[in-house]
Amino acid sequence: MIVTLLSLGFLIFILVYLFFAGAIIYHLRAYTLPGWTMGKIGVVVFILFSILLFVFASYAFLQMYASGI
Amino acid sequence: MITLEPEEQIVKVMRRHWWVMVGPSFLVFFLLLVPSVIAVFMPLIAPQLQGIGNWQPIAQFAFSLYLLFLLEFAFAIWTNYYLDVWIITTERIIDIEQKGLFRRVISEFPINRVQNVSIEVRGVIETLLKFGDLTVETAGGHASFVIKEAPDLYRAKDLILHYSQQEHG
Repeated sequence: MIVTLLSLGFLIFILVYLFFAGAIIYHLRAYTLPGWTMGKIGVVVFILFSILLFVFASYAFLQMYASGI
Repeated sequence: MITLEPEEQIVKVMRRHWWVMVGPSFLVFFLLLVPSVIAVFMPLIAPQLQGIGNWQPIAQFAFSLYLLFLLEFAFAIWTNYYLDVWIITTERIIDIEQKGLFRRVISEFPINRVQNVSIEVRGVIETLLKFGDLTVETAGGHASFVIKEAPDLYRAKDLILHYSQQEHG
């Protein structure tokens, strides 16, 4: 039961995160002029850190499952 | 995003001074420290928690979600700052203001309508770091146009006046 709730919560968090992340990245790609490089760098850095933290969160989630929560 | 006329060129792009990001940066840094403080002081405040099962995976999971939230929060603040720009071209001044994530206001007026340009620098930090407000008044009874907390004010003023006078002939 707890695992189901946590899985659902994690999934909802991912969906909400992806929605807002997508909105931010869309704005940066749509509303920057060609010579503005910081926007592109910002997007790359954001995506890299997001992937890193999602991997960490997924690992922690699986550890919870493995520890019998 | 913006379409330039055939002869039109961008002469200056202005964003707010980096100082305006110091406050939000401190906020994000403070929020980053909160879990660490909780981890240090929780055993002192609630020592009974130490004996309850294996709570470390839960804490790691919660911490990772918190970091993701903080990352997105910080990125949204930076994007809001980055997308607030004033673009001075040879023919017009364009004010692009990102108000939150799903609201954007774009204003522009022809540079030949400029009647008066004034600069206001208020405060110790603004004086030392040389940024402030640039007000552009236009002809025809339209509201004035304010560029807030902008750096390189004098250069911007000179450019606006130069191109407005050029347009007048």
